[in-house]
Amino acid sequence: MEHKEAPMWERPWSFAESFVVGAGLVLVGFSLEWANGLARMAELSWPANLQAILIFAMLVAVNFAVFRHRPWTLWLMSVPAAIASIVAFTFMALLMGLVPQGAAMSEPWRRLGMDSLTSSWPFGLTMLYLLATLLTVTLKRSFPFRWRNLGFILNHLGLWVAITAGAVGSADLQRLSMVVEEGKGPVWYADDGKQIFEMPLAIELLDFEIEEYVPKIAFMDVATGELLEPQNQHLFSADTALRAEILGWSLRVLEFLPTSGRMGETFFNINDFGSAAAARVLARHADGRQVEGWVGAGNALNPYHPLRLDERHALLMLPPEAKEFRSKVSIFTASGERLDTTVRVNQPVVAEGWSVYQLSYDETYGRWSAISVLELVRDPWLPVVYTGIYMMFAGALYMLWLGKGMKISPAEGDAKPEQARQGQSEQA
Amino acid sequence: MIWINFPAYALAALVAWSLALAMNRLSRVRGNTLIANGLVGVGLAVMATFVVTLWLSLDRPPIRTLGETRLWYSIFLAGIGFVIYLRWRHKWFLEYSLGMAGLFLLVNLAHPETYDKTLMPALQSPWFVPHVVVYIFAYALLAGSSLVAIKGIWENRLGRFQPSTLALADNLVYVGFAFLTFGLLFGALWAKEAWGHYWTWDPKETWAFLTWIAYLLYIHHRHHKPAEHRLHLWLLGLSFVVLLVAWFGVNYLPTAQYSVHTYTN
Ligand code: HEM
Repeated sequence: MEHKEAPMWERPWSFAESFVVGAGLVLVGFSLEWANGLARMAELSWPANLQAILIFAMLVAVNFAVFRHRPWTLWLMSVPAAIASIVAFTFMALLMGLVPQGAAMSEPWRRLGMDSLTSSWPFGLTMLYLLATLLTVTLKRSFPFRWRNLGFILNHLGLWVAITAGAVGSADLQRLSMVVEEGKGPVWYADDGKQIFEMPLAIELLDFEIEEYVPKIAFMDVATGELLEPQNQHLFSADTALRAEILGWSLRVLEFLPTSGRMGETFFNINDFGSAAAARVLARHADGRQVEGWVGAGNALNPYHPLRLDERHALLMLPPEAKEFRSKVSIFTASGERLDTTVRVNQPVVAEGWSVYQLSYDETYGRWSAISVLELVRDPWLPVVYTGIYMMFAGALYMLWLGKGMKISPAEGDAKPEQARQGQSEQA
Repeated sequence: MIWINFPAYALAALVAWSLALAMNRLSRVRGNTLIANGLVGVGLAVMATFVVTLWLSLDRPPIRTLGETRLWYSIFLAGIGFVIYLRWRHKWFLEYSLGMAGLFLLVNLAHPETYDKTLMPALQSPWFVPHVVVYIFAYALLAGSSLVAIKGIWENRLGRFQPSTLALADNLVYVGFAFLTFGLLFGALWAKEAWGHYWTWDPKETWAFLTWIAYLLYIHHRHHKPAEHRLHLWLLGLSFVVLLVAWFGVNYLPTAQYSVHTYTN
């Protein structure tokens, strides 16, 4: 295909100009970041963020209404501008994917904002570029309104709403953690790692409960201390119904104790605070050797008790993995109400505009933890973000509906969907 | 230890599919096509049976480990390839997709999985199954579109490229992209329930986002310049590379240790 490339900056603007704008915004953004004096993008909080986004949307809309047919507006609603702004924004996302965020970083990188890109200027500017094109093209397809553009509008406006609300709302988002302990009474403060906040609600931990899976036993190389291929078959569940074959050893769990005490080389059933799991294992090698003995899991109070098979190999019981953990709590609100409830992973509880999540517990104690770590989240922009997401759902459904009906006008393209639709076979 | 039976199921499916492909080649003999189609169906049924028994014996949906997702991927690829073949009669498409499906089974045969019942609490959610199944379905469709692209690139070299090939890719991309969008949004809604925020730019999320963007670019450029086939073919191929990174590669990137979605220790 022969292309006659138009000279740069001559109208209408196309890919080259659009990409230069994108790259320019990234460069300007990093320069602003370097200069450092300016407030960072995500630091605009309520109501300044709402005002900022309303002003921005109004500027784009007024520009569209007044200068709809001017070259710069036509450019803003063109696919080249869309693609360049998506690429610029994605470039910033890619940086975020490759550079660990929030990690310690040497000075030039930190000064460029590489450790906190979501609130950096280059990220903000490329996002504005994206939002400007996205909104302009949505307006173009909305006026005059046609039903067949509904899917397009839902996709594009939904994305606009979700990105905008997510970005400007990030300054109003609060994620705090609260540590509660059994028998210590209600706690009414939480912190974000830097600062302690007094909360409009207090939480008392009545009981922390945990259910565990049967722990796994690993086949260990004694010389290196490494678990042999832990991702592979050298790991088996301490389940009496199972049998494992590893490097010539046939292994069977004869007895399993979820909580145990130890006396010399043997273990017995006991349910005291801090007791760990243990299993009696029978190991037979193909060459006739046989070992029977106890392998015990360790925790904060008990050392591990491996079972030696020969000079090179031993069995080691890993700490059990949690199946479910939950906190039975009482939540007291400022208005004097009391709510008795259970907070589980995946099932947050809402009170006073805060969502309370089950985050963690004292893992060194495992099932004996008397501590529960809760996360308290307040995200006032969430309903707006969800509105955008639901619009995109509807848009995607519309795409499914249309699916193969991709419209390429025969004049522009040479692919005639009709042809394909009739199932034209290549060997015809 | 249901994975122990896997070789038997996998070999049965591989044999059925290989026979089907061989007979399909000889389809001038009347009746062969019917038997070949039947064999593809048998292979699919065998693998579906395996997944159901695996699910029952694990007591959790078998969509957690890479090996388990490869299993679904293999079934979806074979299924989609079969349906598209029945619809459009592109023999090569059936060959490619059954070949890929077989390859995934072989990979699983070479890397037997741990017998592992555990499922961390954050994954125990009603969102888990729809999120992952929708994603795998999207991946399988988009893999299909990339197969089409590879064929197109090859034909282009030989100067026999037919625009109708790209029309087939478009259909796959449109449906696949819609599913990808569902997967992404389900993931966001679930993350809100499980981790307190719908989007955290975690490495896995970032790469899922990049995959989505890659296909988004394809759709837009395709709309803008419908006649630039060569570029579109390459865009599709490259998008698939991004998809593969999102799927496998993330575990090996330097940022992986910060990910909440790599479930290995
Ligand atoms: C949810 C994400 C998106 C989806 C599903 C989507 C889908 C589409 C589709 C299917 C078309 C072709 C319309 C047709 O066939 O008539 C299109 C066109 C277009 N899209 Fe998107 N898009 C998305 C995001 C974006 C973004 C982020 C931008 C820009 C920043 C954008 C800008 C455009 C432009 C400029 C056109 C051409 C419209 C025209 O010429 O009237 N889109 N989009």
